[in-house]
Amino acid sequence: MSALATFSRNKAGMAGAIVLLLFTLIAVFADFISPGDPWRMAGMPNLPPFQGGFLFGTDQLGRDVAAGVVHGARVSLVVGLVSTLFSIVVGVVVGSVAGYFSGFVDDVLMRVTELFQTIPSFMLAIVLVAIFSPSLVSIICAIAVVSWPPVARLVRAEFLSLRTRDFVKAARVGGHSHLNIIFRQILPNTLSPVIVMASLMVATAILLESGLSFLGLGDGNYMSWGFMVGAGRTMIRNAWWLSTIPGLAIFLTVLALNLFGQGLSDLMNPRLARRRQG
Amino acid sequence: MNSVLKPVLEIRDLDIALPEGADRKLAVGNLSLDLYPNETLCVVGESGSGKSLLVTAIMGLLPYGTSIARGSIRFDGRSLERITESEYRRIRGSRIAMVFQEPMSALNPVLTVFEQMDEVLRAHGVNDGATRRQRIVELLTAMGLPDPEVLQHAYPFRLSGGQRQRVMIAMALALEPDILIADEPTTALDVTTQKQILELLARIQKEKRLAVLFITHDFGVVADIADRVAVMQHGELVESGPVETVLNQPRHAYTRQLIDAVHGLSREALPPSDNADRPILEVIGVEKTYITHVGMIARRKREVRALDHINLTLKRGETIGLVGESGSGKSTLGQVIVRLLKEDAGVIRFDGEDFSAMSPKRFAQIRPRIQMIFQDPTASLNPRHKIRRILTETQIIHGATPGEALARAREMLDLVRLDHSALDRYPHEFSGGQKQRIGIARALVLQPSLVIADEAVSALDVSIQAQVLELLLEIRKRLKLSMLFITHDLRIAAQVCDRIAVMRRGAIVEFDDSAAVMGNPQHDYTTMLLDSMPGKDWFLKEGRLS
Repeated sequence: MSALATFSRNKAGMAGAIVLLLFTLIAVFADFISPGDPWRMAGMPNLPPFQGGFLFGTDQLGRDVAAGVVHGARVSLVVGLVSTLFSIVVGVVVGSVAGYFSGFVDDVLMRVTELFQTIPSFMLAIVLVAIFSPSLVSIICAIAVVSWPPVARLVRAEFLSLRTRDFVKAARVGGHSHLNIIFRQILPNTLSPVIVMASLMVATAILLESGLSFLGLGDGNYMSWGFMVGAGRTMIRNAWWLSTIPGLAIFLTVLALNLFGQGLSDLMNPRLARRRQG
Repeated sequence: MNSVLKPVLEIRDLDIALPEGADRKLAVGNLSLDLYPNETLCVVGESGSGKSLLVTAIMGLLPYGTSIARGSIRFDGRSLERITESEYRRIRGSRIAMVFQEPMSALNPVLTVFEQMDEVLRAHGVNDGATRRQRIVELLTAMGLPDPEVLQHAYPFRLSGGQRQRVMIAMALALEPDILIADEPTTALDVTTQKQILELLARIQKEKRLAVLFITHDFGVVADIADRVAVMQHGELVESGPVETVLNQPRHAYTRQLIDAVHGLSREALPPSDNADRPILEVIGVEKTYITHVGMIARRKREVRALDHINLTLKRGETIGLVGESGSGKSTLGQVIVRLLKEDAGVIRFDGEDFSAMSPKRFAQIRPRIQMIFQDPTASLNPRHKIRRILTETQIIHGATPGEALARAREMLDLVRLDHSALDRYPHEFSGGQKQRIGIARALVLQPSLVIADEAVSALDVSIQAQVLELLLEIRKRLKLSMLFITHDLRIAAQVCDRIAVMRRGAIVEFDDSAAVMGNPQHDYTTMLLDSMPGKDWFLKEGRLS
């Protein structure tokens, strides 16, 4: 309760949270806000915004841009959240095992992590999606595969410092199993930075998905913001709204996630907390 | 002589206000103090007494949120609380200099000794490079540092703790200040190094006729170095006067308590341990070498002999003190015995059973019988767990039902004299002494027969230290515990141990009854340790040290 109260005093963080909530509601109630298939032709092609009863106009095939933005929110948010969840799980497991055992295990796991880090992540994602043919699942997997290494690094660093603390020694002297020490003693102490990082990773994942869809590697069954920007790019001179409006949606969501993440980070930083009280 | 001289620093009716929401309103209340030229004034107090804030107030470096609410600090005819920041900068360092507790963090790790000292001199207007170079070598030589020409180009991490502190003192004296403030300058050092630094400070003080304001918590140090003493408690001055008067006739109960902490508890004789009985712990020829690899490609090996053929037998119900300075291997030995580390060679038998011959299953059964109490009470408790979980979780792992575990946890809280309401609180809600009691309860709740206490009271204030030591003595007697008590402080070891093993560079150099080690040391190193104990001369003279 007090954490919520403190967070509500952080204006930027609150603004981010409100925008996110708004987009989440839009995604959840997409069928209600804009019934019917977003791919169907709804009116005359290339109508500018506010004409013919279309809030954001129509595209070159007469599809409703507003409907696309509303339904696209689903894909963007689902891809962002699910791929982040996967990469957090993988990153936490790899990082905590490497950091806790250190030595040889750490060497092996970190070399593997570096292997992923040295390949440009967007290129790797493109290759993976191209190989496994574009679908929502392959996109989510590809994004997760390229995003876990920084999590592993972060968690490993936290573990390296925490494992030498006396309370960990006390648990070992008490006969706790390694698994118990990793997941029940140490891991809860590393979660604040991981949660903050996760909020920022959702933003990156949304950008990655948009990038893939823009290149035509999106899932053809789902309308997404990246696809809309990509499809509209050839018309940018005579129908600016086709790319601009979904682009604005991406921009707003990513900005909101960043603000929200920053707010969380301030909230969980004990030193800032003390200054707030002072 | 003081009545004729004019004080260099006059503190009058000083109040330092803490930010709202702190545990008290004033960090320092109604404090008046004079510092005269050519004297050492010791300000004595424990953590939270306000002594460090007093120093920062004099230096004009009060942290954000605190401020001088009332009173004045007069230096050289000026009121320091009223001058501007740029005026202050001219005083700080050149007229009033300071030496800090932790020489490693007070020196910049990426600059050499020369670069750091050069910068101080240049910042205060010594413009000629040749003069600066000459001054630096002179200063380092005066500090008794070996080979100053070479040493000045070393980075701080190459220097030992004592050398770093000497460099800090050289930097503080570089501009010939009127006042030298030393904030616990020897607390982080080994006793033998501490003695050298104290001697150095005393010599410099006399040579330069400096006014030294020396902050400490240790009355042993006071007896060695002070001309006058001021004792602070909870931000107030409770007693002050010439050192002989305060040491011989302390008026305030708190002063007496601090002085008592130096010469220790009066100890009743312990019941003789049964020699015929099988010893609880046998350490035979144990060795341990740390190997670190230096360099990325051409890997060089660096070997440190942490344990060199250690033999030790701990009888049932006995307490052995393991005494040594940092790097002596005493903590390594403790960790090898609790199996946090594995020995390279040798045999360790617990209750007659060889550790290395034990199956993992058998070892898991034995595990709860050997427990450890740690040095840092804060780091040794998981900050995310309530005390209930800290005290019961391990028991449940070893097969206790939650009900039994809780009942024993309650029993242990009684034993360490904490209220049962502690169960539902988090570690950060307790003071350092209370946290250490919880640490002790956690070790004892498993009903161990052997407890390793690794510097168990070193992180505590002296008055709390006495309480925790007394508690440990009482518990040991009631539970008939065997204990290995690791400490750097011979005074403490003498209070609680039946026998003392003195360690140096991985080897036990002397092992005998406490009284014999303290009264009639056989090894030169033990003699040196005994001589280095702060305040030894005074307390010996008084016949208060056994």
